[in-house]
Amino acid sequence: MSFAIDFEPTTEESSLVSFLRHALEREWSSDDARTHATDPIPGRRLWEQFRDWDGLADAGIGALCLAHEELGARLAPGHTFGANLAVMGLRRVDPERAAAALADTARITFAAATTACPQAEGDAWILEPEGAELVVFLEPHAVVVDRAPHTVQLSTIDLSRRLGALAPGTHCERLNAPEEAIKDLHNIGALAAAADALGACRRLVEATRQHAVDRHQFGRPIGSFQALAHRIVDIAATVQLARAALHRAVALAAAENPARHEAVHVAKASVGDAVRMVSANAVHVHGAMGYTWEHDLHLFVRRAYLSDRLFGSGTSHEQALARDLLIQPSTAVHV
Amino acid sequence: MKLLDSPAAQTFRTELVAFLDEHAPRLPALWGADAQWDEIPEWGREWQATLFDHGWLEPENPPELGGRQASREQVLVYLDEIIARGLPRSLHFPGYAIVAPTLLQFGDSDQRSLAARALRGDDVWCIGMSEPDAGSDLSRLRTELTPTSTGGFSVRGRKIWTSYAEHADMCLCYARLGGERRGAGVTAVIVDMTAAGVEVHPIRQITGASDFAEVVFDDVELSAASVIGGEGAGWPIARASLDHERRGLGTEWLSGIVRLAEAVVTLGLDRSTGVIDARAVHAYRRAAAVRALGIRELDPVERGRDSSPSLLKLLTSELAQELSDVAAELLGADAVDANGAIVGARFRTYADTIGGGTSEIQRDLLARRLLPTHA
Repeated sequence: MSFAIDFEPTTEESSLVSFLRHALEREWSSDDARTHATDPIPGRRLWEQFRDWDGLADAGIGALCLAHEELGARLAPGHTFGANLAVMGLRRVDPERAAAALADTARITFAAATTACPQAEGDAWILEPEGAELVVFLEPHAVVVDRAPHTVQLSTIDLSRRLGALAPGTHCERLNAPEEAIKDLHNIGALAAAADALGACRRLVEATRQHAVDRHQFGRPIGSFQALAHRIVDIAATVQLARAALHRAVALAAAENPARHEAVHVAKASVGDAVRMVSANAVHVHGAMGYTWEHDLHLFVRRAYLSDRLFGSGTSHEQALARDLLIQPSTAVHV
Repeated sequence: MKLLDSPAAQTFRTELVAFLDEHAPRLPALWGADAQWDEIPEWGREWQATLFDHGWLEPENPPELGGRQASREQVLVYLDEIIARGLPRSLHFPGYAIVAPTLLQFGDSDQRSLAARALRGDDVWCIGMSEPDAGSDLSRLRTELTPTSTGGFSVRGRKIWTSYAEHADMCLCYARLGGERRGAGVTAVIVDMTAAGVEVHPIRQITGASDFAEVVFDDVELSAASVIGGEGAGWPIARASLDHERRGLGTEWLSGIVRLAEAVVTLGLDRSTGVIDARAVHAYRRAAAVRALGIRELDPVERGRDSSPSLLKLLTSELAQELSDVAAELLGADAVDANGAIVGARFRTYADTIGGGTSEIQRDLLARRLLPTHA
C-alpha cells in the first residue's frame, strides 16, 4: 500500500487558508484576544460572522488542519474548533442531526478530551461554553450529546480561549459508534489541536526572526551573532519538522490509512517538542521585553501550551505510540 | 496535502516492489565486523549496476542515465519505498551523487559522457576538495594548477580526508591556477587516479576502518580537456556540487536513519513483556518525523523553489548520532565490545556532523536565508 505523500496544498486548501488569514487579520487583533478571557462578547460576534461560511466541516481534514494553523496563529477564539468538531462528530453517527446542527452552529460546541485516547469517564474541556445549548463529546463507543450542559468555567493559562469543565448532566443522549469511528474523531481533534499549536509556534518563530533583525546591540543586529542565529535556525527547523509530521498524519487520516494512528502520535509528539522549545527560545531571544505582560509574545506561548494539552499532550501521545507501534521489521535490516 | 494512492501510483509502486523483492540485497549488520569493509564489496557494485540497468537508480533521469523519465508523483512513490526499506543505492557516493550531476550541469560533451559510468558505478570517483589548511574554509586551498608548454596542465598539491580515494579511478579536483594565470581563480579538473605522480595514503579512522585518505599530486600531468567549465570556474562548480551532494545523499541519509531506528526499537523491545523502552520510542518518533520532512525536502517540486539542502543534512546527521547513542545505551555492557555499537555506530556517526559541511556551516547557510544580516 502506497504511503507516499504529496505535501502540496490543493487549490481549495490554499484559498481557504488565504480567506481565513485575511479575515482574521482584519477582524481579530491580539488585543481582542487578550480581553477574550474577561469578555466573551466580541469573540462570539466574530464567530457569528464566520459561521455563515460553513466551509470547514465539509472541506476535508487537510483544509481543517491548515485552517487551524491560521486560527492558532491569529489567536482566534475556540468556537470554530468546537462547532466544527461537533458537526463532524455528529455526522459520523447521525447525518440528519448533523445537518440540522450545521444550520445553527452558534449553539453547538465540543468538549475536547484532555487525553490521548477517548476515556469512559472523560476529562474534557468545553470550548467556548457560553451560549452553547448543545455540547458534543466522545466516549470510547459513543458520540454523546449533552442537551443541558452544566459548565464550570475554567481558568487556564490561555487568554485567547475560554474553556469549561464538562460535568455531564442528566440530558445526555448516547449515539453509539464503532470504536474505530471514535478513534478517528479523536485523531481529527488531535490533528486540529496540533495545527493550532503549530500556528502559534510559527508566529513565535517569525516574531523572533524579526526581532533579531530589528534589535541592534554592539553596533549590529543581534541576529548577526552566530549563537542567536543558530537558535533561530533551530526553532525554524523544529517547526518545519513538526509541520511535516503533522501534514503526513493529516494525509494518512484523510485516506483512512492503517498507518494513521501511529502518524497522529508522531505528529502530536513532534508538535509538543516544538511548543516547548520554540516558546523557550522565543522568549529568550526577545530578552527582557519578551518577559513582559505587555508584549504579545506570551499570548502565543499560552495558546501553544494549551493546544498541546487538547486531545492529549505530545508526551502522552509518545507514550501511546509505544503501545500502538506498528513495526514491520524490514527483511533488509539486522542488528 | 494527500496520500498518493491513485491507480497510476499503485502500478508504479507494484513494479518497483517486484524489482526490489527480486534484486534488493540483504544488508550487512549495522555494526560489527560485517559493517566494515576495506574494498567496495562486490554486492554493492552489483546492486548499483542493477539499479542503473533497470532504470531505478535515479528514476527522473532518462534510461541511458539510469532512470525511466519518472514523473514527480512517481519519484515520491520511489523515495517512499526505497527509504522505507532502509536501502542504500550505492556504497560509494561521490560518483553518482556529486560527479554525475556536476558533469551534466557544467561539463562539455566528452565530460558529460562520463556521467553514465559514474552513475552506474563503473568508474569510482573521489572528490579532491579539503586540504590540511582548507576545511570549512575551502578558499584557503593551495593545490596548484600550472599550465604546461604542451597546452595542458600540471597539478601539484595535497588533498586530505578524500573519501574512497583508495578505490577511485578518477578524481574531481579543485586547484588554483598558477603560473602566468595566478589569480585567475580556482578551477575544477578531472584527474586520472592511476596517473604518474598520484599517491594515495589511506588514513585510519577511530572506527578502525580507512574510508578516506591523503592524496598527493606530485606534478601530475593533465590535458586541457581535463578542465571542467573553463579556467577559473571552480567556485560556482564547488557550490553546485555541494548542493548536489546534499540532495543526492538525502536518500542515503534517510535510509540510514530508518535502519538505525529499526535497530533501536528492536533493541528496546523487552520480548517477555512486549514493552518498548521509552528512549527507543522517543528516538523512533524523532526518526519518523525527520523521514517525513526529508522526503518533503527531496520532492522534485522543492528544487524549483531553491530550497536549501542544508536542513536535511543537519537533521539526519544529528539524528544519526542521537539514534546510535540510544542503541549504545540499550546494549549496555555489550556496547563496549570491540565489535559493538559504540565503535560500530556511535563512533562512526561522529563523522556525520563534520563531513559534507559541518553542522555549524549548515546552520550558517540556513541562517543566511532567514536573517539577511547574518554574515
